[in-house]
Amino acid sequence: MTGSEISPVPREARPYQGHSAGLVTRIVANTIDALVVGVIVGAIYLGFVAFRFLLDPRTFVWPSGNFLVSLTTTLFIATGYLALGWWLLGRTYGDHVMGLRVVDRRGRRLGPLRALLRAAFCVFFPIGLFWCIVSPERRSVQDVVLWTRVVYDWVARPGASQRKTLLGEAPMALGPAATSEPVAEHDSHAPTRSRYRREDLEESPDPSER
Amino acid sequence: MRAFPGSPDAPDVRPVACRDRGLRETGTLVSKELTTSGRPVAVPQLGPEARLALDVALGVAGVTVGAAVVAVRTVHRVTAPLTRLLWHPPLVPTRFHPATVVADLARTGGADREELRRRAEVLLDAWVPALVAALVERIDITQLVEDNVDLDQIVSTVDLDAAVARVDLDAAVARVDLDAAVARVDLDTAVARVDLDGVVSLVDLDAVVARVDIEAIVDRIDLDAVAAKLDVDAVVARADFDAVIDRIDLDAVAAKLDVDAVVARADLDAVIERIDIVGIIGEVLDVIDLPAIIRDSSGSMASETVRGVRMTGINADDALSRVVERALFRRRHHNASGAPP
Repeated sequence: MTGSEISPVPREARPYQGHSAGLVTRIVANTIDALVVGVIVGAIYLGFVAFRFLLDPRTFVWPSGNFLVSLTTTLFIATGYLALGWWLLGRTYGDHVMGLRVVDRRGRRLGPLRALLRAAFCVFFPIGLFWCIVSPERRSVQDVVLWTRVVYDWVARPGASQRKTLLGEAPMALGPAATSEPVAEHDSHAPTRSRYRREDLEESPDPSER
Repeated sequence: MRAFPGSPDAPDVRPVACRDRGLRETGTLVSKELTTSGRPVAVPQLGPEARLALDVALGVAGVTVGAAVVAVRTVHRVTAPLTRLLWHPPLVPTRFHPATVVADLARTGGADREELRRRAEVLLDAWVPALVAALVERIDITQLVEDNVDLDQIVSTVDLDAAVARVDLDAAVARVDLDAAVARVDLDTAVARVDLDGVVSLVDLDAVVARVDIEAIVDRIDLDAVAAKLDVDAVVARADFDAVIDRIDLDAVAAKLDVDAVVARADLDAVIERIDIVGIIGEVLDVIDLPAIIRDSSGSMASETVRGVRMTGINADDALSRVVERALFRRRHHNASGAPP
């Protein structure tokens, strides 16, 4: 993004674009995603009940919930929801509300496999999120393992340069680790209020090296 | 110099009347006085005795003359036959009459007189100019006139108005070669002696200017040639533009300006090429915060509420990170200060 382009991001949020997101924002985003998953699960459950009611209304009884089945179903739905969101859009609905985007270490959108692995990792090991408190790069355990990052990105739809091509995904311009394109210019001019600077991230992607 | 009869300066001088009255000496005296003095002299007043003597003398003279006339007529009447007999004696041929002889002599004498007069004229014509020239060479006539002639008196008696009225000035001017006259005039010297300030102060310049046809003058001026010789740079360097601009009613000028025509002649493309439109638009958007306008108008997810939630999250992230970093820093600092790892 050059200086002559117009940024849709509010002026006060521009210095944070491309920086790693912190714990609070990510928890809020995950909570929203959990609500979304709950809505989806509930809708599926109600749809299933309605389907059974339509098959045999006379013998219809409200199905008694099996907790294990329900939990397993919910976890898999959550995994699918997160994986699809991160793979196809780079963000889930919770990420969208909170202005986050999940990218790889080069700032590109995740591939399907890595998105699926990260989704499963997050669903079945949610406590790994709290590693980002102590991580200088605000990386959760999932991020550390899968070499991904969660960054602030208030741009709803990335430009053409970030869209997927036949040869692969173009690097995100806003991604701090992007190598093919410079980071948004306002990042270099605006005062950096976060101490997690882009330089820190590039020096050592792995916090264990520090 | 003799005074002019009837002139106001010599009203009482009447030499003719004096001669008629036999006062020849008095008239001569008056004439001499006038001639020598150049000033009018009053007739001397006669006493009663002299007047009586004068009357007596006149009476005697009149009687004497009358008696003489009568005597002459009488003698002539008496002697007429004798005289006629003497001039025309009888018995003598007419050509021998004394009258005839005298008439012939008189005729011959007349012819001689005419011949003499003619010869005298020839001689005078030949000698007078030479003599006059010789005289003039020896006489300073100008000085003579100045010494003896009162020119002021003469001029005062001339009716100059009438003289000028009879002069055909138009014809006189037509004969004057003004070009040659002007060519001989040393105008520089003449102008140097003229008090131009005084002259100009006498001129009613307003009236003069009012009569000048400035448009006709401007039409005859080759302004292009004048402008070509003008050193515009020097003129501009000396001009006090501030004062000029202060005196110009720019509002009135702008009101008369045909902006459409000006714009029509302007090379707007060249102007636009020199303008950093993209940079200007970027600055404008920075000022007006276009994203905020778009958000307000679109009502999308990025509304004020979402924006506030996002910023709150970011601030909370920063705050949490600072707290954690401070705690870790203290611990690290504590470890670095000697505590066992």
